[in-house]
Amino acid sequence: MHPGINSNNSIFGLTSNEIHLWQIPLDAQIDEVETYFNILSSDERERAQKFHFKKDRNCFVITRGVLRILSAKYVSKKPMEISFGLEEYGKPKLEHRTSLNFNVSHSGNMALIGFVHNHAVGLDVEYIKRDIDVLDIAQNFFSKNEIEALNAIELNKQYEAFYRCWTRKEAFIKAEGSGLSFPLDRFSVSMEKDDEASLYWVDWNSYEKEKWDIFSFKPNEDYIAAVTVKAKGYSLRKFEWDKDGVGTEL
Amino acid sequence: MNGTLAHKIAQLSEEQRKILLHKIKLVHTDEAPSGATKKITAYVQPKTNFDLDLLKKYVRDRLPDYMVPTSFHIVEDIPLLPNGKVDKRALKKLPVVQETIDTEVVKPNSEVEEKLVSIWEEVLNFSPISIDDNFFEIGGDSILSIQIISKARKEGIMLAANQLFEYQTINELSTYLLHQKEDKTKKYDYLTALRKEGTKTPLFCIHSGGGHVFFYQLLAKYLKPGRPIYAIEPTGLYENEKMHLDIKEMTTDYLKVIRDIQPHGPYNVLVHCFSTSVGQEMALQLEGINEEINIIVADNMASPWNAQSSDVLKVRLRSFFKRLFRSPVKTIKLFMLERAYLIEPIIVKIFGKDYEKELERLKANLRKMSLEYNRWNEKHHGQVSLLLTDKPDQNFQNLIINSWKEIAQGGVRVFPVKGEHTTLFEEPDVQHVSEKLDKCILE
Repeated sequence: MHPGINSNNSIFGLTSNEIHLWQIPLDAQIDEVETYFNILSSDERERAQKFHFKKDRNCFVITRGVLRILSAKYVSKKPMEISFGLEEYGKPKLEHRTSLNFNVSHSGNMALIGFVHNHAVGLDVEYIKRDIDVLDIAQNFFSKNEIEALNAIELNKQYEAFYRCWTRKEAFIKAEGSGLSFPLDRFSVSMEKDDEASLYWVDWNSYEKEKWDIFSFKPNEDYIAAVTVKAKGYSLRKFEWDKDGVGTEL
Repeated sequence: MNGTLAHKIAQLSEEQRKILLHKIKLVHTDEAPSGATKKITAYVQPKTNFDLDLLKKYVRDRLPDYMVPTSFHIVEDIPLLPNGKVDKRALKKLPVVQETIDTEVVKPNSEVEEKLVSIWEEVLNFSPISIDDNFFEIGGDSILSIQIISKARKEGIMLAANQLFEYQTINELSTYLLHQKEDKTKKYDYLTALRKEGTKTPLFCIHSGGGHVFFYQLLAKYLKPGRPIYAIEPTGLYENEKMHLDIKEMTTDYLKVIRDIQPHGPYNVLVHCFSTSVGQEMALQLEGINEEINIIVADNMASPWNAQSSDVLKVRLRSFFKRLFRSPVKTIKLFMLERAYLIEPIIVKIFGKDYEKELERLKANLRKMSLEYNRWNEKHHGQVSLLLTDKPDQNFQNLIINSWKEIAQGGVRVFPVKGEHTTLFEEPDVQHVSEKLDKCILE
């Protein structure tokens, strides 16, 4: 397989008010791990070797491999010519003269890669685990009004609400680029259904919330995801990377 | 092959030797990334019926600890150079085809480490975990990290959300916890290091009337490297924290922290909106102990809130109306923004939820302090570096410059900056502002 060559090139016309979001079901790519490994840089190969579990290593190799292929498509280069660098607080970026920004997240069997021109983008996907104490975590890391909102939700809906809130928060701080050093309890996001995602309140600037677009969605029943972009008026287009390296719009 | 290893292998029985020699074609040492310890990587080209666990057991039983490979990589074919020697470069690039990594388990050395190990094992759901295991290499991610932190807190180990990202092994975490108390920046709640590294004179940024310092964060990205940057936040953001009651007392406390980090001047202090009064008070207090100060003012007039004289009002009004006619909505918005911290937030008072009220309590206190501050008419020998945005009315520019000239006997240096008053520390303005800051700092 030559990853990516099958993809319909017209998909890669990313306009200035679109977010392209790629869903990669990792299991479907498992037979191609070696192919992806072969297009990684030596640093990336070294990093891949460090993972303790094969599952984590495969996830890293596949996600990085697909990220290389997709980035290459968007900036018209070859996958192996792509080089990555880091921003001040460790957020990965493209080391090329381009306005293209990306962000990656994975959980369980799902990886997501988002692309946007000109503006900062952050995303997060989480597998909905039901064996964690969401109220306890919220107590420690959420803002006061988020804790109140979560407490008010009926028990069987708390998990989804928690993950909706968490992915929105994480997507926001990932777009900000400062990692978890960002104070999680000093901004709030909504917890409502997917189409009502919004940044509620940021304690350092009452106008900050006017600057962000947030989208929430479920890649499938077991996952919740959120994307944020530091700009207004964006629309979200979703694609799936299937096992033959073909992109299909969802 | 390493001489001692060959010698050891020679000591094995014929049968043992067969197993080993047939399986391991090459052992070569690799410098670990930290450079601290040598790491032996074994590349194994297996034959049929190969049992990795058996091989590991053999090696562990027969070789001294320091010779046991830390990882075993199964490869399909060991690449050779034309001269028959192993091609090490090609070897490193080979894909690893089987789950093989085996690391030595380093046991916890203290109570804290023991607690952390059991928390990690519980959350990551496997054991044993070594105190040198890297969280993100053994399946950790952000949601697991907060589970760990929340469990650790229950055990009395106080970690913050970002600390697992900063210290990724239990070993590093416990070392951090041990030295935490000695860290000067942790000593006071109100000091945050935006950039710790550097040997140049530090820059101190004082919080705004909103009570926060996050907007200074981008300075760490754009100021030239080598200069530490500290931000000062007020206390009182969280319940049970004491708030300062006046600018004088607040400044005295801030100066203590600043002088702990930089014992002698000149002090470079960046002020913005509310904190202009802290800058003024700092200059007056430093005057008393013969220390120099460079107040770096981000586009503010001295004593902006009591623009009392009719002259000042006239010029301000003229400037305001000029802007108003050019872009009415923006002007009103700007007007509100610039003075937002002086206006009692009635809406919040009535409708605000608790979380907002707490912050508003702090903001109201800051507002009250700045309105009560009464030392604006006192002169000092401090220097002022004034970062000045373009104003529609030249008179307004002059008014701002003169307001500082009247007080600062050390002189006023004006640095014109591009951008808007309200977005000086945001992209893209902050890039230009940082350039000017680099120029106006006194070494």
